[in-house]
Amino acid sequence: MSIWKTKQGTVPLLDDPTVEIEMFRWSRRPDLHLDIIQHRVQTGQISQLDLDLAVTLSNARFLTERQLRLLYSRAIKGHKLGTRLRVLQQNGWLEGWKLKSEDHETEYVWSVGIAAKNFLSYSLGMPDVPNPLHMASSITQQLFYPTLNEIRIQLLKRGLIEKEKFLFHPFLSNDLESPHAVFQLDTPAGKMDFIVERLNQGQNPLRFLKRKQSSYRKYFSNNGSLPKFFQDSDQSVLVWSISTEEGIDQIVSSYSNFEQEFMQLFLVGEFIDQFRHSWRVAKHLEGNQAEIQKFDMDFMKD
Amino acid sequence: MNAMLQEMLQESRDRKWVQYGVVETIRKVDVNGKQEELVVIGYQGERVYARKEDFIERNISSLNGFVSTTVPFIVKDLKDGVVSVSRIEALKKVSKQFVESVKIGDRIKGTVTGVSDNGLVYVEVQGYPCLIPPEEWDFKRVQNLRELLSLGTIVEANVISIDKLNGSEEKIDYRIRLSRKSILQEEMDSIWDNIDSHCRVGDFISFKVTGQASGYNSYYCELSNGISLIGNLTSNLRNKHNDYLPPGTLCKGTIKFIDKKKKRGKINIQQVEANFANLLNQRSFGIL
Repeated sequence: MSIWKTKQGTVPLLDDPTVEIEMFRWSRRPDLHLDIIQHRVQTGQISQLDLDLAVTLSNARFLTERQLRLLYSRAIKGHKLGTRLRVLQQNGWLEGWKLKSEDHETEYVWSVGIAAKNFLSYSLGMPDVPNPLHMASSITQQLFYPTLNEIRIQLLKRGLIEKEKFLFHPFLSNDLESPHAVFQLDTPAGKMDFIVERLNQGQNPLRFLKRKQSSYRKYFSNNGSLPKFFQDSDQSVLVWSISTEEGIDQIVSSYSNFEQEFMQLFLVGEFIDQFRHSWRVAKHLEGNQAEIQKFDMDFMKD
Repeated sequence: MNAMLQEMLQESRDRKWVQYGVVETIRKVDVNGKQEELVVIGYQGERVYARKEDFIERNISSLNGFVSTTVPFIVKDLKDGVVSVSRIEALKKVSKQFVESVKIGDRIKGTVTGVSDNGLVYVEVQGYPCLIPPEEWDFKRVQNLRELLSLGTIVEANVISIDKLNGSEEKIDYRIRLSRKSILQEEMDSIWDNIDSHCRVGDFISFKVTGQASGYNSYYCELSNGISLIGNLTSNLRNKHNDYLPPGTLCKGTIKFIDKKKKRGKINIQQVEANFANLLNQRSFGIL
């Protein structure tokens, strides 16, 4: 399978199997003792904004610097945020990575650092704060988080969801592996759960799709519907998050068993800015062809 | 100012006696068209005044830290009921007396005046600069003591060495090293001697994790009275925290056993306390 490209002929940075990733280094070992971190919070060396950044990153797992600048554009100027992120990285509060590729400008990805993890978990008592050591050890497999967070940001920006209605790795059923994410939308057809599975081209997406689809099919045949996470939802939709339309074509055309027993949509990353128009439905045709059609989410704002 | 006090201060000026007063305020005044800081010292219900250059030799940005502290002074001048004094001259005298009288093993109190990057603590005892080496501060090396220890903190320590400095370019004649650790050791010994009055087996207590001990699921736990016991996480907490507690975590648990002779004991760690959780009640954090 060749590398999926966008309409402009570029490879999306966060889905580029050849992307070069470099972790930001510490110039000296930061002080990670909880007493020191608490002292810094009390004395304001770690400000409310820094705390807010850490909580945001803890909920989002990973965000690109561009996403952070957008989210905090009201609180702090972009370049000042950039400088602050790097200061916090040196203090172990955040971890940063530099992503380089031929097609794109350098992008930076941020997550919580050990100091923030310790403070949020042990001083604030927040549950499920990601462990930066685990994330750093498998960074290439974690780059789907910013892409799924982009969906989250688009939904929030358009006022389509409340912030607690988007979750990573929710537990759906004993018979199913947790999906990458789930969110609930209030559609004209009632409240719906959107179960999101991410297809990364660096991690054998076809095999992943076959495996996941087979487990959802099995669940559907046993229960007559897809699982729901939010109890007040009327039904669920399976969403395959993919970086480009070319990716849909390659996957669906090469998988003759791709059928729509239950509703399956593709959410294409390259059109995410026009959120309403970034949804697709696909069908496998004879002769290893794929038919891709736009799916207009007309209740969403442009 | 009453006549008797004035007479006493005149006598004090003539004989260069050292008197002690409490710094009441730092006042900005105009002297010959120049803004100057004046230290107002309360003495016997009256006020005496020291100019900044008579108060401290170091050029520090603010004298506010001296407010409410007791300082020695020598009367310099008495004019129209206004008494100007010098702390610097008094310190010379006081520190000379201190150096002449101090002995190894003396327990003394001093004020922290500085901490170096590597944890060397500078302490001023009766105007004389002394040192607490990093290894003599505590039983364990405190990381980033410079950030945690505020200047002006009063510390108690034992004198462990007095070395004469021959041909040194420094202003002092003797290097006096102090040990805070030895005082902590004495306190620990006395606590262990009367451990039953402090804590008993079965007590549910609060403590702080200070580090990971050797062996699986073992942590050093420091109780509020300073003694250290070994703590083990209960299995549900072990799963929740992935077998890891960072140093500085506040916990609660039950004392399992105490061996008074060997000065050791064990705690069952049953709760991890989130001591900053009220921050989350004040406002919600996180955009996503």
